[in-house]
Amino acid sequence: MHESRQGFSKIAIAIIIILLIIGIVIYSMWIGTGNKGIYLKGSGASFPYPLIQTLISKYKNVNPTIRIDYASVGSGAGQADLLNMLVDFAGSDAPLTDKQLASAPGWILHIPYTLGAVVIAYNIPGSSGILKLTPQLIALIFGGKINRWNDERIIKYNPWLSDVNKSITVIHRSDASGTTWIFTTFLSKESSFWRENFGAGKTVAWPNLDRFIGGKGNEGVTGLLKQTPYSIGYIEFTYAYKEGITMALVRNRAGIFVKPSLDSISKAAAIDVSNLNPKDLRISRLVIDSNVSDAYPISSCTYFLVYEDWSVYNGQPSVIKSKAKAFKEWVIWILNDGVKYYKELGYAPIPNSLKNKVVEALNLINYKGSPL
Amino acid sequence: MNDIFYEKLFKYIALAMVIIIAIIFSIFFVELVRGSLYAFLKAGLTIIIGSIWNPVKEIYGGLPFIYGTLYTSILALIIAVPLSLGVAIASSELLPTSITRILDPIIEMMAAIPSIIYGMWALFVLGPVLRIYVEPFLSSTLGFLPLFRGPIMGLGYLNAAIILFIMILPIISSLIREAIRMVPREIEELTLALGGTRWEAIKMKIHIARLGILGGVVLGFSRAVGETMAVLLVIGNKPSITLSLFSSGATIATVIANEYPEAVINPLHTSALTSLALILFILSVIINVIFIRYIRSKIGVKI
Repeated sequence: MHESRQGFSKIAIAIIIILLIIGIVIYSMWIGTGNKGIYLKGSGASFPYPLIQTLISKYKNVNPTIRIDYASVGSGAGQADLLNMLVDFAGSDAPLTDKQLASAPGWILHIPYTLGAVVIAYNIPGSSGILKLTPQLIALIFGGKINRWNDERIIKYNPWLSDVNKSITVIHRSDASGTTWIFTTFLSKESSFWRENFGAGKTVAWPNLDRFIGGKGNEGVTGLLKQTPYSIGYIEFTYAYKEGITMALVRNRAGIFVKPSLDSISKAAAIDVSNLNPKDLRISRLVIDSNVSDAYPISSCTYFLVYEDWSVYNGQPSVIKSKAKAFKEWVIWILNDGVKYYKELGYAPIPNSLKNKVVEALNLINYKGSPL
Repeated sequence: MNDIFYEKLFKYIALAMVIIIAIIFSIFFVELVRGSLYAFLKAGLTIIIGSIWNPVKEIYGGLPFIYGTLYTSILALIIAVPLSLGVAIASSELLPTSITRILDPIIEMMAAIPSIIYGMWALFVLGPVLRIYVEPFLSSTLGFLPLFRGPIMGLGYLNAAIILFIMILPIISSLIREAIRMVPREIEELTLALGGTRWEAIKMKIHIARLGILGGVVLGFSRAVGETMAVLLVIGNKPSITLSLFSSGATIATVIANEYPEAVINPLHTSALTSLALILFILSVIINVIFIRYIRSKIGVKI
């Protein structure tokens, strides 16, 4: 008698658990379909993630019917998601290549909306000088050709280093990242030595020297820098800015040693826009190592990638049209009002001259040729 | 009738679980093979024997990663096995119960600490200690060996091996301890009765428990081979084949963690990483199969 009652209660518990699971499933399905608002889905680069999160949550007060989700999965994964039409927009630090664009089911617009930069951080104990570097010096240090801090090529610009007779430990990103891509693209543009030996990419084969170490992420590189005396490394500006890390000055094309700052980074995109086609705003190659004077040279813009013609997506045309419209309105809001949140988060806004081109690009978004 | 019903029900549920596990295992294998096919077709055996890994130039040689995986794991085992044996013998034979009652759970809890925490500790505490005290000492006293030459940075194979050993110690030592405890009490009494010393009794027990001990070692090795996060933080992440303990290296698990998220857009890169995963998978299977065969040959029972 006692045993059967116990058996019964176990069955009862099992039934309750099953009912609960069914309930949760039904509830989540109801949440998914019952919501009549517009739902935009994006994925991609992790660099702008904090900014995008803020822009999404602030936009809720402006237009509460639009729900936007952004998953920080990395530029490459975001691009793949967009090409497979799993998301409505992608975030990417690197533009698509011509080959990737050709493989896409439709033309993809590049919408630059903020700039990032890569800064050179260093740890030289017992001295408070500010390091000044030329692109050539950076290429030679990170290419393993200069191995001591008091190398005469460094001292030429940094006399305060003349008695630091120490070997340089170079710290680079070990994980594939847009930061490495910007950094190596810059070096490839400036130095033929770099271009021939290493090239540009999200991961490159670093010199096979004992002085080189890889750290994961900005945190990893910064952590290694802090505890390795006489080291040098490159990190994302936003991270360095928030952590208050000392950054080296880098000489730009105008021959000026520029300190990385929100201003000097924004200036990198103050390029001549008259020849730009809004259909193809892949301006990274112009922004990186920009020819604008006062611009910090290792800057680059980060993009939203979005289809020009949203009829590539399957589904009810009215729903897709409203999504495309919502995306456009959101980005226009970012360019006009959202920029006020940039500074506290450490992101550089795009200059006004470029902004008009971006709006033109947004106006190209259509559904089967009819504008929204 | 009820009992029979439940018995049958239980039997089928248990059977279903086994089948599910088998299906998951085969799906893993098939997917890994499918994913790595492209790289093997395009790059051939370079994936296994090539020593240059350069995604920019699309050269994918995985040997440094295979080497790094085996080197760190074997180093970790070399330190962990004698220590685990000591810990296990102390806790099962030598120490009074009042102490082991506290000590055993502490060692077991070490297995529950997330690996990222071990990694952080290795990076911020162990790294500087190695750089400032241990590595200069080793290189000045034993520097004539290739093992102890190289840059003194506190990061690299030595740091990775130490953190791995700390991570696999709990699992190996608790398995060894259980194996020793399983040895019937009579064996010890018999040895002592025949005039053997305490030490000989323990040796006897270890001899009898050797298969269980080996099981612990194999499990520890499997864990070390696949450990990712902690190793990634301290190994330096540079593909290299060197004996030097101070050098940076990389393992299969770390290169996958580092490069996979951004590789999706490049089929060959993705496929090359997948083939490394396949190699890791096969490596673990081989180790386990060798172990099972060894046990089978020893005890003559079909497993």
